[in-house]
This record gives sequence, structure tokens and C-alpha cells, in this order.
Amino acid sequence: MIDINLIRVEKIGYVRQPQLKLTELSFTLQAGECLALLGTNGTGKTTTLNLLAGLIQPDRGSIWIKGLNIKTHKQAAKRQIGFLPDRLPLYHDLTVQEYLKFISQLRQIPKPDIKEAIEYAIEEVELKDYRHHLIGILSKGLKQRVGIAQAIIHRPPILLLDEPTQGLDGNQIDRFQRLLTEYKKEAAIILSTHYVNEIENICNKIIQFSTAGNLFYDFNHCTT
Amino acid sequence: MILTIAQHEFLKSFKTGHLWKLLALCQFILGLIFYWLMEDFILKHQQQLLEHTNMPGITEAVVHPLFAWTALIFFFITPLLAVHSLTHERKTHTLELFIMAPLSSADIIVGKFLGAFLKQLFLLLPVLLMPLFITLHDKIDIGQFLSGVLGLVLLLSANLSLSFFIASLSKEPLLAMLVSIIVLFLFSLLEWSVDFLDPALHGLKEFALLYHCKNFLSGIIHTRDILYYGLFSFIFLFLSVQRLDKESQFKKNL
Repeated sequence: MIDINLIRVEKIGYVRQPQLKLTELSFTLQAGECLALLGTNGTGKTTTLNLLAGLIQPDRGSIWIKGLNIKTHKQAAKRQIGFLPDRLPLYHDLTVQEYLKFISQLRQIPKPDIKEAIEYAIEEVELKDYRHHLIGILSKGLKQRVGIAQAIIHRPPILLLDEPTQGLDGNQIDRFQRLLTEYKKEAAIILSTHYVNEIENICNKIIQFSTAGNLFYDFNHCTT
Repeated sequence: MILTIAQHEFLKSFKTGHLWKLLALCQFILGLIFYWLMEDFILKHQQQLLEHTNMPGITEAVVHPLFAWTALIFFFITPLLAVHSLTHERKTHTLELFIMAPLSSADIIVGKFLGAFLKQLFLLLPVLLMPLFITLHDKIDIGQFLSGVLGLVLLLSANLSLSFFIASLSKEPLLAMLVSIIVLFLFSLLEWSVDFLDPALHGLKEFALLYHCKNFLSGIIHTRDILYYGLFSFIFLFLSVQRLDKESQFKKNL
């Protein structure tokens, strides 16, 4: 049977600390869909994204990326994912261009396509004027844009974004929302945020995390 | 992919400038030691040098101790390189870039190991040039010199793999570095400390890091010593790979 879902999460559980208990989380996501993870700090948003990115493994349940179990097909599954973590993984002594070149090599983009991939990422997050700047001297908002660029450089069908708008100003948030709307056409996006107004026009699914339990809203089917 | 990571690891250090600082420090200390060894040699054998009779072995008197000092100095430098490569990257979250990429833990560890090993060779190269300056005025035993170089390279590989394993265990760079230095010294002190133990335990000497380097420095290449360093490096690299592999299962956040 062909799995049309880009992401399928089946009853995953992850318990490490008394305050962090992620239990029985399930959802699916197809191309063109966007899932927002809402909730206060420490309720499991970042942990969920880390689980989906393969950085940590769930205690139980399974995660399927394009029909591949992330536990058994780790590398193949990771090729399909672009991830912006909450703590930006940036080399401050590299220029934006050098950094993105290294990222494209890590993501195993074929050599002849690397230049085009860098141009695409720089263009999408509007970093043209900063390509030769050292990352260390960039402002917080610009660093965040470099972080977004590294997540989309290999044009993954699944994009995971942990609080992507932190550090961005109003105009940049607008531009970022336009980027997501465009990107969503051929991909599935999961993002975590504290602000509902940032995602109301983009996301069609929401998981509200809370210590009392998680609520799942699917606006496609108008159910909660 | 391993070579890409190694290249990045090596070139990145030139960008940050920390490799240049290490090179300067290393050259300053070992340059002074070389000067001191040469001065000592010349003072002791002044008369023979003037008469050109019964020339004592300069390789044994200068090159051998210089390499021994180099091995000792690298007990401090190697942990620094390993920690910078793994623990520091974990602290700054750049290690996540490698873990997020479609790479195996072995690719990451071996790539980073090769990069750090290249850095060691870069730091070692000028030290090797010092004995070659002697050849401008005197002859050195090239065989013993090359054997010593091989011994140093193998020792540095073993040191680095052990430091990598310790670096893979910790999130705190300073702690990882201190533990690495202590463990490296403990592995070396094993050679002398067993003399105070039961004679049945004297075989533990075979596990000492510097013990196997002595033959190389004296110009003797023994398969047993090559195997020791090869196995030592492999075991600790293997453990580092296992550690990185298991990390995602046990840690909340990397």
C-alpha cells in the first residue's frame, strides 16, 4: 500500500523528565499541509521536532517519513527533512556563502548543483547583500534567516521549523510567511510557535501542547 | 563525505585562527627545547667537534629527546584539538548539523578525526624540520629520524582517538580537556607505576602509550608496536562512533 503521507506519526512517546511527558502523539501530514505546534515553554514542542528530525529517538511508537521508518532508514529519511532548530547551528567564523556551501555538501547535493542551491537559498531569505559577511557579525534576525536558508537549501519535501520567527521584525515576518505559503505548495511544514496570529493563514492543522494533555485541531475537517 | 568533513574540520581552524596560535606556542616551546638540546650537545662535545674525531651521535643526543619532548607537549595539544572538534561543536550546537545530515555516526567521527589528525600533522611538520637543520653542518641518522617520525605519528593517532572518545562523552569542553590530559598521562605513567606493583602485573606495561614509542625513537620499527597503536586508535574511534550513535537514545537534547 502506498503511503501518501509525507509524515506519519504513530503513538510516539518520549519521557525523560517529570515535567516533559510526550505520550501517544499521532498525526499525519501530506504535501501542501502545515502543522503548527502551539504551547507554553516546556510542553514538548521542541522535543517533538527533534524526534521528527531524528535527533532523538522516541521511547515508543514510530515515525514514518515518506513511507520510511526513521528508526530503520535514518539516513534516507533525513534526506527528506530540512530542520531549523531553536538554537541556531551556525559557524560564526564563516561567511554566509561559505557556510551554505558546507551545508550543501553535508546534505549531499551533487557538486554541479551546489552553486544553484546556494543561490536559491540566499534568494529565498533575501541574504544577497550579506553573502560575503561573516555570520558572527550579523544581527539576530539575519542569523535566523541564515538558519532558515540552511533548512531549505536542499529543497526538502518536509520542513521542520522551531520558532522560526524569533528575532525577525514585522517586515521580515511578512516575507517569511510568504516564503512558507509558497514553499507549502509542494511540501509539508511543521513549525512551533507561541503566537497564533503568525500561523493562522498558513497552517491547516494545530496541536496545542499543554501539561494537561494535547489537543489536535484539523481545519480541513473542521474537527477538534 | 568523510573527506568533506575532514577538509572542513582542517580549514575551519585557519579561519578561527586558533591553529596559528597553537602553532606559534608549539614552535616557541619546542624551539627553545631544541636550542637547549643543541647548546648542551655543543658544550659537552666542543673539543670533539673542533677535532672532528669520535663524533658522538647527534641523533641520539638531540633528535631522540626532541621527539620525546614533542610527544609530551602533544599530550596537552591533542585533547585541545579533539575537544574543539567534538565537545565545543556540541556546545555551540553545530554538531547538530552533522547529525541532521544524511550521514552515519562513523562518517562524522572518522571525518572529524581525520581533520583533527591533519591539524596535528600541520603542527608537527615544523618540529620535524628542526633536526633537518642539523644536516646543514652534520649528519643525522636518517633511519632513526624517520623511525622516530613514524612513532610520533602513530602515537599522536592513538592519543587523538582516546581524546576523541572522552570528548564524545562530555558537553563541557574544559572538563573534557582536563580528563583527556589526565587519562593520557595515566596511560603513560602505567609504564613506571607497574614497577611498584606485583611482578605478575608487570605485563600492564604493554598498555602504556609511550612504552611503544621508545623503540621507534631508538630507530627500531617493530610490528608489535605498529599493531598496538593501530588497535588502540581503532578501539577508541569505534567507541566514539558507538557513543555518538547511542547519544540520541539517551539524551533529551544534544
